[in-house]
Formats: sequence, C-alpha cells, structure tokens
Amino acid sequence: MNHNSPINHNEELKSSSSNGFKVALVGAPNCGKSSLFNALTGSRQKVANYPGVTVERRSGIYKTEHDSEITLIDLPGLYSMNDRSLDEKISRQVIMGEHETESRPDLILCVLDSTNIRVQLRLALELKTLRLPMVIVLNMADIAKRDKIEIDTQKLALDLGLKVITTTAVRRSGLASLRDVLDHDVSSIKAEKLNIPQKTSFKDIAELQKCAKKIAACAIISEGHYHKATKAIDKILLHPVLGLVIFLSLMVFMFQSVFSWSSVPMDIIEKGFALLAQGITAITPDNWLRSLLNDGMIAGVGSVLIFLPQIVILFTFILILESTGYMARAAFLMDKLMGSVGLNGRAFIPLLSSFACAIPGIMAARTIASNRDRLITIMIAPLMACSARMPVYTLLIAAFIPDQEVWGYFNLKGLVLLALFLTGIVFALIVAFIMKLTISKETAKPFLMELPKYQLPLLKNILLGLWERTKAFLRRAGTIILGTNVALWVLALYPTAPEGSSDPDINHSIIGIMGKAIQPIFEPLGFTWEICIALIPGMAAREVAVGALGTVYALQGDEDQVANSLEVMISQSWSLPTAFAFLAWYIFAPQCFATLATARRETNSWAWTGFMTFYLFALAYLSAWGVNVVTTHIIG
Amino acid sequence: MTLIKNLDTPTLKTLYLSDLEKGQTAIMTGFDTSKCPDQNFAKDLKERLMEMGFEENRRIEVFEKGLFFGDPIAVRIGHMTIAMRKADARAVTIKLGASCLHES
Repeated sequence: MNHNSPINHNEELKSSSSNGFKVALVGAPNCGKSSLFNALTGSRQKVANYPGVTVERRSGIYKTEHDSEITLIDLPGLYSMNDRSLDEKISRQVIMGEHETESRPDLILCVLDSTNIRVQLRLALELKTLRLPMVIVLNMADIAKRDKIEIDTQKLALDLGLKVITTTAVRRSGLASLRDVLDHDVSSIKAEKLNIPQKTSFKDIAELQKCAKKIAACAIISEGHYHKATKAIDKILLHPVLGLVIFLSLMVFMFQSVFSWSSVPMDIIEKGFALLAQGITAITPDNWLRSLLNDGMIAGVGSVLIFLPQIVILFTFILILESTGYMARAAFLMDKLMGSVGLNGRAFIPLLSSFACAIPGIMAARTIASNRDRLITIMIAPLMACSARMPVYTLLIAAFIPDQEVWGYFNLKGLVLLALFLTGIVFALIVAFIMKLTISKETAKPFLMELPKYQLPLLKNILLGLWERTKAFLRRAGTIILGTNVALWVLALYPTAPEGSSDPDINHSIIGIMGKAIQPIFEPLGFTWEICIALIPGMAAREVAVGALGTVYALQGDEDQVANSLEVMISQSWSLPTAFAFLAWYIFAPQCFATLATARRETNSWAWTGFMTFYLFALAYLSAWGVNVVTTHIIG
Repeated sequence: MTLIKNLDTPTLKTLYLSDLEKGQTAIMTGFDTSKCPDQNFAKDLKERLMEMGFEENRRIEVFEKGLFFGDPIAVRIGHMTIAMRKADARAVTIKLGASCLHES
C-alpha cells in the first residue's frame, strides 16, 4: 500500500459533503471518543457500514453557532495505525484519503484520554505524520483532575506543534473549548491546510515510542494516582469467587427482568394490533384486501413487533454494562470458559446478545479481532435461544408439561425451559470446539483487553444506542418480515379449496401442498402434516409457526374446537414424543431469514451461510429424530 | 515465596510476568517471545503490548487472577489495567526491585 499518496483518483465518486467541512474523530478505545461524538451531534447521527466490510461508519452533523454544518465522523477506536485489524485499516485509509467512498477529512480531532497520555501520545505522533490539520483533544479532564494528574498543555502544544484543548465529554461545560474550535477556527484551519510542515516520519516503533516518551515526560507535571474507585470496585468485581457469583447473579437478574418486565408492554402491543385488526375489519368489506391487511400484514408484523419490549430491555442492560465498563470485566471472568472451547472472553458479549436476537449478536461479533474466532462466534450465535423461540417453547410447555413442583423448590415447567436453553448453549460450545479443531489454521491472536475505568452510564448515550438498535429491528420487521409474510399469505390462500370441499383453504393452497409433500421427510420425527404446513411459514421467522398452527387447526375443526385454545388443541392431538421432538427441532433449526441474511452480510460468504444453514438443520433433524425415538421407547 | 528469595540471592534465572503472584509488583525489563507459537504471533503480541504501554522500567502489578489455574490475569501498568492470558504474559520479562516491596 502506498502510504505517501494523498491524491485520490475517484474523488468525484466520493460521497459526503465536498463543499462542507469534515472532521474525523480518532482515538484509542475507551478514550471517551464516542461520548464526545454523541455530545456534539446528538440525534443528528447516522450509523452505516463501510461498503463491503463490517466496519461501522458513524457520521453526524455538528451545528455551529452560526448555523453552518460540519460533518463529523467517528472512526473506530484504535491503538495504532498498523493495518492489523480491519478497523485500523479503514481508519488509516480514511485519514490518508485512500478510501474509496469516504473523502479525506479536513481536520482530525485526535482524542486522548487525559489520564493515559503517556501511552496515547504515540498514536498522536503517528497521526501527525499524515500531514492533516489536527487538534489534540485531552478528554476526561475531570477524571484526570480528580486523580491528581497534571498536564502542561502549553508545553505539550509546543512540543507537538499542535493546538491542544481539554474537554470533559460528560459535561456540557466541558465541551466549550472544542465548540470554540469548531465554531471559529474552521476557516483558519482550511487556509492553514496548505502550508503544513513537511512530513516527518519515524524509522520504527521504537523511535516513535522514544519520541512519545520524551514529550510525555516533559508535559506531565504530575503522574497522579490510579483511579481509586476503579481499584476498589475491581477488588470485588474481578475477585475469582465473589466476582463470578456477582456476575452470575447479574445474568439471572437480567434474564428474569427481560421476561417479567416485558409482559405488560407485550400485552399492550398485542392488544394494539388486535384493535387495529378490528378497526380494519370494521371499515373494509370481507374480501381479499381485508385478509391481506389483517392476516398477511398485521398478524405477521405484529408477531415480530411483540418482541420489541424484550429486545429493548435486554439492550438497556447490555448498553449499561458496556458503558460502565463492566462488559470487559465479564469478558475477563468468562475467558477461561470460552478458552476451553478455543474462543476468548470477547466472544461472550455477542453470544449474550444472541439470547434476545441472533441478529445484534452476530453484528456484535465485529469486536472480535481474530477472523476465525469471529466466524465461529457467528456460526454458533443462532444456538442461543432467542426470544422468537419463546412463543413456541411456552406454548408446548404449557400444553405438555404438568404444573408440578420438583424437589419442593422448582417448577417443572421452568426446569424444562432452562433445559432447552442449556441444550443450546452446550451444543454451541461443542460446535465451537469442533470448528476450532477443523477450520483452516489462522495465526492465533493474543487476548489482550483493556479494562477501562468505571464510569457512570450517560442517559443520552444509552438512549442513542437503544434508538439505533430499535431502528434496526423495526426496519427488519418492516421489510423482510413484512415481505415474507405477504408472500406467505398469498401462498397460503391460493389456490382455494374446490367448491363443496369441507377442508380449509390452506390444505389446498401451495403451502398446504408443500407441507404435505415434505411430510414424508418429517415422518420419522413424528411430525404430523399440520406441523409440516406450519413449519413452512415458520421458516421465515420461528414465531410465525405458532400463528400458522393456529390457522391450520382453527380452520380445520368444528366450532367447538375452534373455541378451544390452541394449547388444548395441541395437547389433545399431538403425542408426547411429537411434542418433545418439535421442541428439540426448535432448539436448532435456523428458521429465520433475517439471521441468515445478517450472517451472509457479516461473513461476506455464501459458503459459510450455507454451512450454518446446513449444520443447524442437520442437528435439528437428528436431535428431533433421536428425541422422538427415545421418548416413544420410554413411554412404550 | 521463592520469588522473594531471589531478591537476596540474585540468580541468572529470568523472571516472567506470568511468574508473579496476585498483588505482586515488579519492574519490566523487556520482551522474550521465544515461547510463542510462531513468529507472526510473537511480533503481533509484542507490538500490541507496546501499544498498551508495556515498556522497559515501568512498574507492573498483577492485580487479579482468574479462578481456574490463575488464568487469565489482570495486570496494572501505569494508568491502565489489562486482561491477558498467562501464556502471553510469559513474553514479558521482569525483575523484582527493592522498591517494589514497599509499593502497593
């Protein structure tokens, strides 16, 4: 790669404001860069991907006091510019003007953690060689002050030959100096751009390090002490026994909350959609349009949107744990366990997210540096029992598992649910272990992870993060799910039953025909043709199968049966082996188009997406078959 | 215990960051990546450690160790705490100085 050519050949192709001013935020992880970005741009921000890669592009608009607009981009956090990870590579390309779609920024805000400039000055010096106008932002000034760290900013500015300002991203007043630069100095920076001193370069890392050390030694008046609160909290939270106990309790509390706190809002959403369907029934004639709106669109989208409360609650927890700095501690505590199957502690977070939904989980795997580890994490993410499995699990558990106390303490239904979750986890670990042994060897990456200082979470950052995730989820519900549901609605309705036939339409529809056609394949698992019909729409999204079962049974029976709940209907018409086999199938089967589409995007490979689909279906089939055979044998 | 003894009778045996007990502090003396699985890994590890502030003559404290086999370890260097595996900590050489005993 030619590092010395700032000239780009497809300047015209580049998006973004060619006439506006563009500022890039660059800095090490945990330097408070994103808080700074959020504070400056607020809700005027956009998160997308750089084309073809999974590096996030965060951009936003800063409004100056004269109401002009400055584009801010928040580049991924990095310790150096070595092109070692994709994040580093993209950041370097953008800063050097070599990126295909991102034009070169006009100004770099190099954000350094004031409490750690000794280490972070290195990056500043590295950036300086790139000959872009740059301002050094010493962030977290408040913490530095509290920890008795004193920096001579004037000396630092002199030694670096750059403007140096101090900020506290978490306080509005702490941004005054930065706002001042953005509001007033932009035009002078633009002019300055032309006469930047000649590029200075460093022979090697050692020389860079030496230079950084010299500057730091001059500029640091007092080293201060290590963050006292962090030290005290870590004594407890990183403790080998106490820390693990607290961590596990936290996880139990989190999952408990995800399910208990969400029940009221979920009821409200369900009732809301029911009211909407009633309203449509009231104003439309009884024809295909009403059916399309009610059965195709509202039922389909409603069945997915109902999980929004669970996803919001889970992400609130995850975002709080992340922004306080606890997530890195969780990764530390879990590293040994993950290491036993060849992954590292970092894989824990994506897998945890996958319990709400595999999609954010797969996306969170981006934080894993090793490609192989990242791939394995993506492959096993769908084995974590996502919230879309809950309707199926709860329906079948309610229908078949007696409400009975076990060992005087636990509820049998709860235990079965736990067993379903654990089976997924155990198989995920087994699959990870096998993949680690078989996937072509890539150089292992060391596991080095900074444990950041503890901080109070900022409401604004949490809300922005939540909104971003919610938007992604709603977009999915509005596009893929709506689309497939409308398609399935058509396939379930046409062709209609011949006149005089007593069968419901769905039996004669394309889906009915398909369901009956695949039934022989599922015969060994004990699946009836009703189940097979429900499985076809359930391929698009797991929870849709429940609604489809409702359709199949409701349309089939006489009025008394229709009045019966689906639960009673199933408990009467399914055998126990069938029910258990169906549950086993649901632990594994990758019945979610959106997950597969995400896996395709994140791995950038059809082969791996195909592998994921295949191995999950294979596991689903074999385990459902095994469960059916064994259960049939036992109950004789 | 054995480490403390080394203070009185300095030997030529090299000490590694992975040798330290929980709560012990030492002075870093350099890198020794000879036990790394391969050269690429060694280079990568050394560069990353340097980026995170591992330098000669800096004080390092092993702050915490994991429950199982004392792995991974949490290491404090300057104003940073870094989680790393014992195997990787084997690449950092240290010495125990008299000053270390008074600190922390």
